[in-house]
This record gives sequence, structure tokens and C-alpha cells, in this order.
Amino acid sequence: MEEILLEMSGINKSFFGVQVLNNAQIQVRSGEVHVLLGENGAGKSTLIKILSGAYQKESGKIILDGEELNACSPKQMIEKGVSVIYQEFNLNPYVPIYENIMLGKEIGKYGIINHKSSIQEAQKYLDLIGLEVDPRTLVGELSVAQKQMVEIAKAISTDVKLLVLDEPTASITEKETLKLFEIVRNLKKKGIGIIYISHRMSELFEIGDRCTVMRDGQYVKTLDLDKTNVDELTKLMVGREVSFERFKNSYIVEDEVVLEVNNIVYKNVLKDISFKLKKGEILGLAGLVGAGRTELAKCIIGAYKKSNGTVYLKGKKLKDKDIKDSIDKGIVYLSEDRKDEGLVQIHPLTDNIALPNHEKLCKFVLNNKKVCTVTKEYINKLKIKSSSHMAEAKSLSGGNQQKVVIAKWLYSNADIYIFDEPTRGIDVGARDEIYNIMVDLVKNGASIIMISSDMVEVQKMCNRIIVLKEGRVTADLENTDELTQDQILYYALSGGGQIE
Amino acid sequence: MKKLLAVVMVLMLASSVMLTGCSNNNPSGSSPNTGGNASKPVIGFIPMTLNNEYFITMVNGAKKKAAELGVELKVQAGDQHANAADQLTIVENMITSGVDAICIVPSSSEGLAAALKKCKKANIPVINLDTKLSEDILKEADMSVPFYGTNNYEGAKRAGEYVKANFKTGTKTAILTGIAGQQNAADRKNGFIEGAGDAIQIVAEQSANWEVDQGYAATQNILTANPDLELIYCGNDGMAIGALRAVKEAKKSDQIKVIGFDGISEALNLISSGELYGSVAQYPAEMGILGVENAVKLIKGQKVEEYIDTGAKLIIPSNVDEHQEYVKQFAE
Amino acid sequence: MNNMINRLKKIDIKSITLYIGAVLILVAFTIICKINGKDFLTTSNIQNIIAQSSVIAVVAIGTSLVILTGGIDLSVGSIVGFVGIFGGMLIKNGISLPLTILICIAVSAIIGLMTGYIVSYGKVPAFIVTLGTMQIIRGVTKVLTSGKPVAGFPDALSELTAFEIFGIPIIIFYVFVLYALIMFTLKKTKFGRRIYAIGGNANAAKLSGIKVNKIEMLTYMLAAIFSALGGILLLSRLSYADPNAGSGYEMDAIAAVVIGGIGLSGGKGKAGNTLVGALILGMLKCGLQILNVPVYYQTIIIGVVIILAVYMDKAKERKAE
Repeated sequence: MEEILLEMSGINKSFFGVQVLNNAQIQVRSGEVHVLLGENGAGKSTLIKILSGAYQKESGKIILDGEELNACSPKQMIEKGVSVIYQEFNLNPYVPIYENIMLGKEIGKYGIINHKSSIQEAQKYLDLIGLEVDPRTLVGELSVAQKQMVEIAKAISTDVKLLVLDEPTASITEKETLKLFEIVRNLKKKGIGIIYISHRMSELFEIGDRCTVMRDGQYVKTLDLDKTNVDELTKLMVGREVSFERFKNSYIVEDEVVLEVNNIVYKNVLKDISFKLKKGEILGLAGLVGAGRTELAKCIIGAYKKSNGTVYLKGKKLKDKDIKDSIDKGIVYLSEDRKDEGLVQIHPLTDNIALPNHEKLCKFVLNNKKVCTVTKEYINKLKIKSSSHMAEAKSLSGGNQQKVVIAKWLYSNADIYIFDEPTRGIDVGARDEIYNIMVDLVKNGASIIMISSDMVEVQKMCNRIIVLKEGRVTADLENTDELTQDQILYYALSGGGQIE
Repeated sequence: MKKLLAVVMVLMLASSVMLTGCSNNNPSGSSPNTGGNASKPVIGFIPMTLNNEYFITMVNGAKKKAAELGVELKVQAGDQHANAADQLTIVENMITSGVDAICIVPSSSEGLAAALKKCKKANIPVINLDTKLSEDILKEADMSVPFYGTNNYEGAKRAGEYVKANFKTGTKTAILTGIAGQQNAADRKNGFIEGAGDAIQIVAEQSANWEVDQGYAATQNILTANPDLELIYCGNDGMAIGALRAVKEAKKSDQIKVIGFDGISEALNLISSGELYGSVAQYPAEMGILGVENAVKLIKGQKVEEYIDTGAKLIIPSNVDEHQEYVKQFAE
Repeated sequence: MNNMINRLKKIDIKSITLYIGAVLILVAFTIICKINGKDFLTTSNIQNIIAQSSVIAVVAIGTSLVILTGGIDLSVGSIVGFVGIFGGMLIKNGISLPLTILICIAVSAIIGLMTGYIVSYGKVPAFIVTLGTMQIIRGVTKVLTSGKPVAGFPDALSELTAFEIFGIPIIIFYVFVLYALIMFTLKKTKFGRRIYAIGGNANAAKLSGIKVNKIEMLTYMLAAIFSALGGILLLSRLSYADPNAGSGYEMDAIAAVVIGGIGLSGGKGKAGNTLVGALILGMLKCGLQILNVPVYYQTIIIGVVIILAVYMDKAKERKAE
């Protein structure tokens, strides 16, 4: 039995009264690759951020190498030997590799950097991980995989004991993945403990030794990877089947196809996606973060320029990269990002609701009276909690902001609504209200595409579910009572070419 | 909280106005009994700018005379060179504040028609100093305005004639001029060219907008193109100081002589130390003195001279001491 | 009723602070001038102040629009200078005054459109594009007359601004009419509301089907047009055109805008208050000159006032944090 390197136990953490981690735990040995597994929102990132010092735990214990750590800053954690490599790299693209590696531990006297020895020192670490690039190369000129290796080199230059890799293979090629695995195995041999976060099931079994599964902020189980399989892990991630009311039985889908999406390709994110949407339907778009769901929505409404493909709305072709045309023809997009894309935070509700509806509210002059009436109407109808219809959007809570986003598009009276994560960051009560609004919409003849990472929500609302994985449709499922969450998750995680 | 801030702001403003008002009143305020004495005549004095010594000397001459005659002098200038809009604003505000006469150095000889009309309407006499207003403008304003100043052209010609007498024929010469389009810039150039005749061969001519830094840069470029240059003539001393610096840096002080215009104190120092070859001196203080003296006469309804040439002289090492002595009385 | 009071409180607290500030400055000058035996608060002097501020005030309308979208325009002063010389030459060549004005507006609009196109569609930072435009226009202006001023205009030109209605110079009416027009446009028209939306959150505006680029481009065109109008007013007021006229006006215009309470990040503020900002600047210049404060001190005081005004404007936000 190897010695225990890290022990985190009984970790609790909440944000704004919502418990994100509830008695979470993980135990990592020296020289092992320990996989951390869980759905979106299971609490993996929060746990890692607590480990890195970016967040502080509310209670619980962190013991690293026999020493109990309390309230350490990110800098202190690095000094203790914990390095986290996020998907977004912490490198300065405008300076050479060696300066990135040596940042904070520059060699030199009187504040004057000795570039020659710095380069030599950096070269040493590059050799260790086998990156054959001149350390004087600018980081910006490197490929993603190379940048990742620089990050690793930077980590081992600090005498790292525990290395966390967050989705390290998300954006590198298969060949580069093999190289990465080689590096990881080398680090293992040096006795470094590695926490490995990934959704790619096949990968986990290849590189991992043990696996800890998390669900809803809680610890589920730790298993040896050579004594388990994909099915078992998926079941553990999803947990028990929760009982819930299925809204999908309360509305009727007609046969008329209102939206036809054909062969959409977008850069290397979306790879040939086609599907149809029927009148009165709520279609779920499931998949993991990064599967390309938001990109698909933006390509459909014309916010992004598709590399290829067409979209027909009731037989009429939507113009390329012309949002206004899409809105005029009757399809609207409710962004997952209320702050940056949904609302003008510094403007009153009236202005926000009027924004996409100027044609309706203007003859020559904007009818301010009507804007107020309409705003008040929606405040009542959607039960928006706001001090007044003139209150700034930013003064509202997340759920109420979301309702304002819905209000502005409801008033535009579209045929098709794309809801992108409509209930993210919203409390339970408000969720149900939003579900009811959606059902009302389809009952009145509209159609909805719902992007959601919440499996329960998808099963609750949709009559059909399309699963995306890495820019491809891996399943198109009728939402029957027999459909289980682990089936959906299976397609989202490991569904590949074998489907369809 | 905000109201408090507003009050603080106004208090600061008020106090700064008071302070600066006082600090300004003392040097310019002439007679011992300050304060609103209605019988004491007030003269508005508007130089082109207060950003250079030439106009400051002019103002000091005017202040001296004002103190002597017991009149109040109000000096205002735009914060930029050659700004007709600012001068109009200043004239309007001086009329509001109740001046009895205005002495003005126009930012341009053609730019004050609107301001003159306002003076005429308010029945305030105007005296034109240094830069002559064009006849068209005076006709347009229907006003007779006395002019006291130097003829730039004649002063420059004197410098040219000196060059003709002391340099060989075909001396390779560069000329730095003031802001293109200004009459005095053209006069200072053309007068020199006429006076120097065939003594000079002009190999380069650049506008350096009256500025030291631009004179410096322009000269560097001219020297690159013309390494065999022998003489630089500049439309004012600022540009000459810049030119001198470039020449010094190029280690060509022996080969190249620099002549400036205006005779400001730094130029005079440079002449006595032998670095600057010469500078055409005008008598700005005289203009200020004559302006105030005759403005008082106009206020009293007396007749004044329509034109006085205040003269110009080329200052060279042999007469620099004497001139410095004269200038000293108008330094602050 | 309560709602109404709340509304007034919330919306206008910034404006009210500004008006209080303006009135206090007016009162302060009146008192200080009285102490020094001068009259500040007279009809003719108030007219003077507005007339003196008019060019900046009109130019600042365009600057307000651009800043509301979150942009910046440094080329406005150079267009004032350009229109003076260009329009002056047209008049000298016998083109009628109305036609001259139309041509000046048209030419400036084209300049503004080009600037705006590069900023909005070309995604080049506005600061840089308009800095370049400023240099180009200034250069072109000097090329037109080889740097010489243009003077000697028919009386009709000065009458354009000096003509009096009920004893009030018509230039004052121009300023108020233009401001009424722009306040109406911003508050009541699609175009106006969209300018605010773009400044507030360009992404949200885009996803709401707003043609963000087009509107952004049009604001630069309008900025150029208002600069042209300012240039014509200046030409008429001086009856003289100088190729350097209007230099530094871009900064005065920005100062008027920020004193008026429009933040440089855009999306918020009232164009009408820009007029108050311009008048505060005009009042300061006028009052300080009447008090015979030397020009060096004047610039110091004006600098202090600009910073103080914005400091106070931000007081609310600081409190919120």
C-alpha cells in the first residue's frame, strides 16, 4: 500500500445559501492517478478550487503529506506542492516559454534577470517532460497541447507533489493524448499524485488507477478502476431514479415540422448536425459542457457564421449570420449568460423588454406609455419580483432576471424559442414557474428547444431528447417512461460512432 | 453627501478664484488703493499668448506704464497660440467686465472682425500692437485702430543685410519659418531673403511652427540631408534654440551659424557666450508702453499717433551687453 | 404616488446634483464678482456665455452619442477646423450660404461614415481610428489653403449667428433646438434607444436582433455632422476661418460630456445634461476672465472642476460597493 498523499474529508461549502459541497471527500495516494468523476454541477470544480486555495472550505479537513492545511492562499498551496492545470491556461502568450516557467522564481541578482541561466533552468524541465521546443519560443506560437506541456513543466519546476489535471484532453488530438499519458506515467513513477478530471470513459480506464465518484456535491464511492466498468460508473454518477412529474404528457405535439436543421458544421466544434423540430414540441438538447450545444443554438439563430449547413423555419431559409432575419421569421434565443448576453444590466426593465420589440412599440416615436404597460403586464404575469418596472435589471435576483429575459422574448411572440440552460442558478420555486411558462408556450402552438445539463429537467420537460457529444449527435431519443438518466448520460459520455 | 461635496467644490472654486484674483491683483494692480474705484480707467490688454517671453516682456512694459499712469490693467490671453475664437471670447468678457480701452495683439491679422465690431458697438477704443490688422478687417469693422509695432519685414531685412555684408556669396542656408499661413512668418522669411540677396543659397526651408522642439527635429533632418550647411536663419528664437542644439549635437558648431529673431533673454545669453550668431531684437516692452500710454489718451478723448514703428535691431556679440541692460528693466 | 416619488428620486438624482452644481457655480461667481465690483448675472452676460459655449455645446452633442455607445471620437475638433476653411472657400467662390452649409454637412457625413465603418465593421479601436482621422483632416485643411486663414466674408455669414430675435442672438436658439432634437431622438426613437442598448451591453443588443455595427457607424457620422454644424457656427461667429481652429475642441467636448454625467463606458446618461456641462465650462471661462484670473490659473481650476464633477458623479457607485 502506497502512502496517503492527500486526504480531504467532510468538506462543506455553500454559495448564497445553496449547498454546493456536502460532506465531500477524496483520498489520493502518492504515485497514483486518481480520477474524479461526476456530472456537471456535481461539485468537482468546487472541490478542486478549495484544494487549490481559490475558495475556502466552510468545514472539513485537508491533510497533505501529513500536515493539516487551513485557509491557505493559492500561492501557499503552490508552495506546499499542489498545482492545478485548468482548461484555461495561466500562461502569458506574449512572452517566451522560459519566462512563463520561471515566473516568480527568476534567476538573477539585484532584480536583474539572468536570461542565460533562466533559459538553461527552463530547458531542464522541458527535457523532463520531453517537449522539444526552444524555450525562447513565444507561448502564443505553441499549439494547445504544447501549452499544456509548458503548464506541466511549470508545475514540476515548483517541486510539485500533487498535480490536478482538469479535462486535459478536451482540446488536444489523440496523438497528443498518448504523449500526455506518457508524461503522466513518468510523473507517477516520480511519486507524484495526480487527480485527473475527465468525462472520457475510455481514457479513464487507460490512465487511471482509482476513481472517486461525486454527485450533487456529495461523495458517492471510491473504486479501483480495474474492478469496475462504464455501466457501473454511470449509474453511480446519476444515482437513484428521482420521481418527478412529467410535464411532457400535458402538451400535444403536432406533425407539422417547424424547424429543419441540415448538416450544420461550425469550425471544428460542430460536425454535421441535422434534426427537425415539430410544432408544439419541447426538444431537449442534452450533452456535457463543451459538447457544442450553445454553439449549435447560436449557429441556428445566426449569431455565429456556420461553416456549412442550412436552417429552414416553416419552409423559409434563415439567412446566414443575420440575427434580425431569424427573429423576424420567428425564432429567438434565450442565452444562458444573462449578464453578458441576456440583459442590459444597467438599464431599467422597460428598456430591456422593449429592446427586441422596437418595431412593435414604435410608429415613428417610441410609445413609452405602452412600454410601461407591457412591462407591468409581464411583471404580473410572470410574477417578477422587482421594486418597480423602472428598476435596473441588475437589481433583480437571478431567477427574476431570467423571467425578464423570457418576458422580452414572449412579447416578441415568436414561433420557436431556444432556451439555453433556463434554470441555471435559479432557486427551485422559480424553476417550476419557468417550466410552467414553457408548457404554456407550447400549448399555444410554439415550439421549444431546451438546452440543459440537468438530466432531471430534460426528462421532465421534453418529449424528445437529442444528445450531443463533441459536436456530433449521438442519440435521438423519445422521452418514454422507460428512458433512464444513465441512458442519456451514456450517450453524452461515451456514445460514439456506434449509435445510429 | 453629494450636496456636501457640491458645497465643498464651490468653496474650493471660490477660494481659488479669490486667491488667484489677489495674487494677480498685486503685481498688476497699480495704485495703492485697490478695490472698485469707478473713476480709475481700466485697460484690457490681450497678447497673442502668455506662453512665451516676448509677450510677457510686452505685458511687463505695459504694467510698468500702467502703474506710472495710475490705471488698472487687465491681462488675458488664450491658452493656445493663434486662437481667434479664444480672443473673441476674451474681448466679449472684457466688454462685460467694463474695460475702457483694449490693447490687442491679434492671433492673426485677419481674424478679429467680429471682436472689433463688438468693441465699436460698445464704444471701446482699440489699439493694435505687434501684428498689424489687415486693412480689409478694419474696413469691415468700420473702425480706425492705431498700430504700434515693428515692421517684421524690415527687421528681417536688417538681418539679411548683415549676412550679405559678412558672409561669402552662395552661403548654404536653411530657413526655419513659423506657422505656415501667418503673415509675420512670411514677412520674417521674405525680408531676410531680400536683404541677404545672393549671399545665401537656400538649400532647405521648413516650418517649425515657432516651437523649440520642432526646430530641433527639423534641423536634425535638414543636417542629414545637407551636411555641408553653413547658416540657419530662424523666424524666432525658440526655433533657433532648437536648431542650435541640433547643430551642437552634430558637432558642427564651427561650420554652421544660427540666427534667430526676437532677442529673448536666453538668446541674448547665447549670443554673449558666442554660441548664437545673432538675433533680430524687437522692442515688445516699447509696444506695451506705447499701447497703455495712448490708450489712456484715447480714453481722455485726446488724439494719438496712427502708427509708430517701435524698431528692430540685429543683436550680435558687440552690442549684446547694452541690449541686455535695457531688457533687464522689463524682466520680472 | 409613492412610485412616482421613487421614480423621481432614482432617475434624477444625478441630474439634480449636476443642476445644483451649475447653479452653485453661477451663484458663487455672481457673489464673487459683486464683491469685486463686477456684474456677472446680467442678461447680456448670460447670452454671452451661451454664445461662447455654443460651438463646444453643438460639437459635444455628437460626442455624447459616440460616448453613449461606449466609443470615443477625437476627430471632432479637426472637422470644426476643416469646415471653417472648406466652407469659407466655398463662400469666397460665390456658393450661396445655404448650399455651402449643405455641402459641408454632406462632406463631413462622408468622413464620419468612413471613420465609423472602420471602427464598427473593421473592429479597429475608436481611439486609434479617430486619432488618425484627426491628423488626416487637419492636414487636408492645411493643404486646402496652404495653411493660410480665410477672411473677408459677406455680412450674411455673421448674420447667420448674430441676427437677433427679441434681442436674443439666434445662435442661442440653434443650440436649444439642436439639443431638443437630440433629446427627443434619444428618448423617443428606436435609434436613440438602441444607442443606449449598445453602450449598455452590445452582446445583448446583438442577440436582440439589433444591427450593432450599423448603429455604431451612424453615431460617428452624426458626430461628424454635429462637428460640421459647430464649425459653421464658429465660422459665422468669427467671420474668419483659421486652419488651426477647433484644435483641442475634442477634449472640451469630452469634458462637457463627462461633466454632464455620461460615463465613458457608455449606456447611461442624458444628452441634455451635456449642454449643462458645456455651459458650466463656459461659465467658468467667462467668470474667471471677468475676474481677471490669469490664464494659467484658469486651466488649473477647469481641470479641478472636471475631476470633481466626475468624482461626485461616481459617489453613488462607490457607496453601492
